[in-house]
Amino acid sequence: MVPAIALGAREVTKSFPGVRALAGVTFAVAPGRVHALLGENGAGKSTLIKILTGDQTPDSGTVVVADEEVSFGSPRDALARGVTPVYQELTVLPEMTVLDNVMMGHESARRGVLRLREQREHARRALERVDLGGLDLGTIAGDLSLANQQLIEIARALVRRSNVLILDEPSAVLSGDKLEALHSVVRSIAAEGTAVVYITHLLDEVRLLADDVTVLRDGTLVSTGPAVDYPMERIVREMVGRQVDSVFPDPAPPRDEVVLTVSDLVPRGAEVAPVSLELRAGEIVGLAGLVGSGRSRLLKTLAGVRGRGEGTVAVEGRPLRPSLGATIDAGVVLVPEERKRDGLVLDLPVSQNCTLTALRSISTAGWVDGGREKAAFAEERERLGIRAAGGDQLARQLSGGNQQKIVIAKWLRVSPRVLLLDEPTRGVDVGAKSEIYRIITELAANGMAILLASSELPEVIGLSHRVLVFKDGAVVGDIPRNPDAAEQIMHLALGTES
Amino acid sequence: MTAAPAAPTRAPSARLARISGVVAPLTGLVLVLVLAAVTTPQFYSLEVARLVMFQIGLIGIAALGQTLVLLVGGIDLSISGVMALTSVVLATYSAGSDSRLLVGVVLAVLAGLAVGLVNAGLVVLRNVPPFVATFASFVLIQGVIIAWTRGAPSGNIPDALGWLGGGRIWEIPVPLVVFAVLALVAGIALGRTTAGRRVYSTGLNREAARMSGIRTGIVIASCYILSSLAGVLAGLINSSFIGFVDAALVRSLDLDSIAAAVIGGIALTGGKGRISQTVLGVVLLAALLTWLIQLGAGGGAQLVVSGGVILLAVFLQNRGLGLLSPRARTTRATPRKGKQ
Repeated sequence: MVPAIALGAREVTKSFPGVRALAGVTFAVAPGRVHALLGENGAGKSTLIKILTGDQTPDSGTVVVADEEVSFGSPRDALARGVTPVYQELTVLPEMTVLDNVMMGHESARRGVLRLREQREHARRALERVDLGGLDLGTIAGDLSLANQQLIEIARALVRRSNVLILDEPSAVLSGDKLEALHSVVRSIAAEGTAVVYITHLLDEVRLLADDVTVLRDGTLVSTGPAVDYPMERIVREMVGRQVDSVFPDPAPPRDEVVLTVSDLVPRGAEVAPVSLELRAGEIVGLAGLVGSGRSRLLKTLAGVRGRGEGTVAVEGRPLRPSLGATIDAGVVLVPEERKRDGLVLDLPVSQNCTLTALRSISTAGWVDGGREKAAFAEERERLGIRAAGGDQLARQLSGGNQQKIVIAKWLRVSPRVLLLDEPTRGVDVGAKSEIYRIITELAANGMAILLASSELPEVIGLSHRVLVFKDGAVVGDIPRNPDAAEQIMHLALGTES
Repeated sequence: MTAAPAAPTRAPSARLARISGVVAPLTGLVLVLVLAAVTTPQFYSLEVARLVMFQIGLIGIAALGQTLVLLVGGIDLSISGVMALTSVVLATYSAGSDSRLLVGVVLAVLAGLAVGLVNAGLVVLRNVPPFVATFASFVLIQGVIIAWTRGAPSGNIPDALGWLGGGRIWEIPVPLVVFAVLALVAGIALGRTTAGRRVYSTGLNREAARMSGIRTGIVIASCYILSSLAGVLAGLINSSFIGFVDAALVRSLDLDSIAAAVIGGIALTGGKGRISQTVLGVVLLAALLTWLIQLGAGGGAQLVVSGGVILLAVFLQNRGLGLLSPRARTTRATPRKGKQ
């Protein structure tokens, strides 16, 4: 008896501190169909997947498997129910053989001893289904191409007799005929009755592959239905939504003086087209693009955190050496994407985090002056509106928004000329977001040059004087301030010129 | 409405953390002192007290260096190797003669410096796990000593140095005085100077510290070098106390120094703990070891008890931290730059 719903969600809601990730999302995947799950970065796709695969539990609502409401305590429970995810980051163990990789976690054994013949048969059958029937089982997985490693991942899922296969952006690492091979594998798996949830940013794949479509935006379900009802324009419109927001203060006009000049810059180890740009004092330039489009990498390279492959960077006409120390001395600083990992020392008090970058300014001959440290923190607290119980509260205990303000504060202590912001409002609640917008606008009005990378389009559009659109590490568009540029930017970022 | 409406309960929790960090070792110390009074009354004689004080000084100096390394997220297993090297170098180059004492001491310091630099280089430049790097140094030093002395290190230590290990200032053994002075200096440096700031922030989050412009490599290297120098000093004290070289006599001060720091509450994960805690741990460990000797326990029993106390201390530490701040372990940085 084939169930009507292979995998589904009913009114699923999930919040993280300060952020509502999913609000009452209901959707269903039918057996034997490929269901494309679409949405911008941060729309809630990953959270939904994590809930459907038992990695996280919803605050309310339920997961449905084979027409039954279930509650998963762990990914193991979901696997036992035949729901198997294949994540974007490959989990193939490169040192082990194809056989071991395919059978990993699902070895057939008697009293702990592997039954080799049975293992081989299972693996062989799974590999045939992903069109790798000719592959030697003893091949070391690390020697395979990325595309084949991806197929190994899928074979691993097939060994588990999955009823539902969740593919998280498999196309991120594949292209051309590799992608076509993957599509034919996915189609044949679906034809055997398996439900496939397919997450992608390549909208072409929707047309080629999907039977059904669901669009998420800001944690809510926009619409769901058969793929034939979804022309490209509709998908983009629904992903982006109406977004003429009034929370963005109008930026003051930039000055004429060029602060940062980047010429033909290629980050070390990246094979991408060189990037050139100029940033004037008081100018806010937004960097838009999908995750992995190279925005973060560019910011890290500019900040001296990552090495330069080629190209030059100059601050106020003076060439900048590619070292972290020299870059900070020249006044180019980065508020990193991973706030907790790279921005803060969570177990130090907030005042000490605030002065971490400017220890010399609060000390005499190496001796820390507690008074000057307090004054420094008080000044930033006032300027940025940091809400903390006191200077000696641990950074760990602050909310996301206040933590982010501390990271900004720590750099304001060195009076930077160029502020690089990478996802400055990620994990920040709505109220603190608009305060951070105000801070960014004010800093620019006072002459600071700002490069702002964000996955939230409204934010990039609302704050910036102009927006650079990134795709595959290259700038594919330079769009002057325009509140209605969202769809144009999205098309550029996706490469679906309409 | 009062000021600071959303003030989370920082003060109590910080104080609680501070107190809970001290309660366990203090309780342990009181327990040892009481047990000693009951089982071995001679523990409270002047003679034994001096022994305890000497132990505190010797273990303490090594523990100070160890604490610095632990604070930057490392571990130094080569301290007793440095001690042994120090006594052999000293005996060889001064040949028991006071006039050549200075030469021997300078060479011993240089040897210690070399070990510290090797440790630092392996850990900072090559990203070798500190455990492996310093253990390799230790084995290497042992090998060098055996090869150099043909397996039978011998020789006398100049008498002029005897004061360092055996002298007293108002009945207080010199090693204890030296330790007290160094502990004070280290405590102030860690608590009040920018150098201390750099040590703590590097130990707590190396990546964030680096991206804030702190040269974490230099910070970490300095700690390893200071630790080796502490090993040289401990080696000078130990060899001047016994007066001759016997590499086998050099106690396992690596373990003792780690034990003292951990018992005091210095976190093995780096960045957490104060020098005062190390001092407390040292006092507890010295009292415990001396009491065991008074009880007539052999070397085996001493090791068993030390090991047990370390386990207990780490257990309490993890529980304490777990209760106070549920540590959602942040994901590691990229493998290449990951914390040691």
